[in-house]
Amino acid sequence: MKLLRMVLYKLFFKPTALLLLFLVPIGGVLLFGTLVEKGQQEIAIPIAIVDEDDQPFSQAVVDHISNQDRISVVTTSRDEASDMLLRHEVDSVYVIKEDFEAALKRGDRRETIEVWTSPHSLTTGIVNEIIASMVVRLTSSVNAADRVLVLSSLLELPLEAGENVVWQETFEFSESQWDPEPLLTIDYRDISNGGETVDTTGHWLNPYLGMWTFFTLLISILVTDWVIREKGLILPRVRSTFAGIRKYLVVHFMVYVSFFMLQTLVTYFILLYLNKVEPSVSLFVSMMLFGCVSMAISFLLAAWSKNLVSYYILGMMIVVGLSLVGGSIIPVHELAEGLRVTSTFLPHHAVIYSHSVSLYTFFMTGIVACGMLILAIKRLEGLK
Amino acid sequence: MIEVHEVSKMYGKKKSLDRLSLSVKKGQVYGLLGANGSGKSTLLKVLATVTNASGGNVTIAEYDIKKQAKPIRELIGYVPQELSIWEEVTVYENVRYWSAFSTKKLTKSALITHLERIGLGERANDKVKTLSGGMKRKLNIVIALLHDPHILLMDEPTVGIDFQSKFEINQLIKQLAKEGKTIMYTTHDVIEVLFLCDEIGVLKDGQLYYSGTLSEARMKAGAVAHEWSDEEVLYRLVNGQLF
Repeated sequence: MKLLRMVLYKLFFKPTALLLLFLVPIGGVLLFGTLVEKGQQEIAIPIAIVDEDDQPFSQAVVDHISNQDRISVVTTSRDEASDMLLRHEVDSVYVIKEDFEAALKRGDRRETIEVWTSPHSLTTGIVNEIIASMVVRLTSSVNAADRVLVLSSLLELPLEAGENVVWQETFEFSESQWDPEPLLTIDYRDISNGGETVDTTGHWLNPYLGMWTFFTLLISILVTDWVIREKGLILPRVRSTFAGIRKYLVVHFMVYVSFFMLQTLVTYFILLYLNKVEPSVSLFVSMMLFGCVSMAISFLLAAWSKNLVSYYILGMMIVVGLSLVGGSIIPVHELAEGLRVTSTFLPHHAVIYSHSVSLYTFFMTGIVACGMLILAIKRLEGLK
Repeated sequence: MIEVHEVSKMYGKKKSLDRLSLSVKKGQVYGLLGANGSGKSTLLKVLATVTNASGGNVTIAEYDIKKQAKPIRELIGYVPQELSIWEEVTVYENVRYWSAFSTKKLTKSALITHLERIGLGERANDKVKTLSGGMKRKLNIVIALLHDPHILLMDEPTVGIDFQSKFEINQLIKQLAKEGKTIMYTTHDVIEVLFLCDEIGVLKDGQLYYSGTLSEARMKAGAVAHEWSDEEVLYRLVNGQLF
């Protein structure tokens, strides 16, 4: 307890380190995450949608397209959309015609949406598919609702709530079947790669998580420089004390990891509050483990570095290198095949692609962090 | 109190201690002398459990250093040659930090008393980096005394400081010896040896060249040594030219 109090006191004595520990990852995530997200939006292919019907069905189509990665949607008027296409400000224009909802409810889905393209249009095929899937979905829900009314009529079942209410309830029930997993999905195949199906989940990197992993590792390197500062003069004397060097290092590690976990907790809830991440236990656990691994990497590096200069230089190389390969800065699928495989072993990957992380990965990450910490302590214990 | 038996220490291929044996009695002030690189600091590091011997046995207060390092660490106070202190914090915070490493509970007033004993009481709230070299040395020493050790291992505690500070430190060591502490002490200062040490050990190339009192060394050297001053006897001892 005495040693724990001492380490806490040492940490609080340097408020800059404490502030760095909290402010840099959180501030970096919010600032750079926003910038990267904005950049992603800017490089997304713009399309214009003219919603002349302005009914729930047409709005559902607009929302569905807006949620697609790499497509940015501008909703505008017919004239403005035409001008934008001529000025090459949008790739293509989709006009959801008046009577769209009524037509679908009648079971007529032909010529309900107009598509304007230019010779330079790139996304028409993809957007057509997306819109078609949405139209099929709405139509099938309408059909289901109609079918219920027809069946109740044939079977002479009394509809106490009234036909409209039953139709609406059936429609909504049918729509709810698309969550959480859609009933219909589109597979994209890479022709250049033998027609292999391309995994598009997470293709568009969550910039907030990427930036968080980058800044958390960076800060863990910066706040662990005390090991280098104390390695020459303080640690040899610590070795001659009753508490000993192992206890001193472990207490330090635990204190720093606790602060990292607190920082992770704050970051996670900020991102949740800002709707930048979905509530996810695996993401939360991945982020917590990332803090432990970052500290273990920093301890290991500090244990082997000869001086502060080499520690900082190597530290920066490790932060940038691991962040690049781990997918913090660029999406992993854009890396070379070898690097893509390597990235799956990095803790960054577990955070950024937490939806596909298994319990085994968590377990192995914990083992690796403990292994690195033990190696670092052994090294520092053995230094003469 | 301290028994060193055929202890060797290798740093790579270099032999720093070579089958060295010596013993220090309880309550004795034992001065370790020798040229630079003779193995003085290495021997103190081995005794302080900072480094492990490559061979041989050491017992301190009948505890085996290999198997019972923990109780030995509570018995010894080690003063390294380098200043093992945190420069950015205050004098008081330094002693407070270091007191956390022992099992002994020390109140604030007890820590201040330790500082006052060595003349640092008034500088307790000053940052260490504002202290003179002598004061830093005093702080380096007082840290080793916080847990009231029975044995003090001091590696050149007065190196490179002003006369006043050196005198005060030597007075403190004398006082500690009177209190019954066993002190093993390395130095290059002849006056310190004459003033403080009950017995001396001279190391040469990692081996013990001589162990005993100065007068015993003079007698052992023969009639010719009777004309030499204490300083000259020590000079010849350290240079391995007495016998």
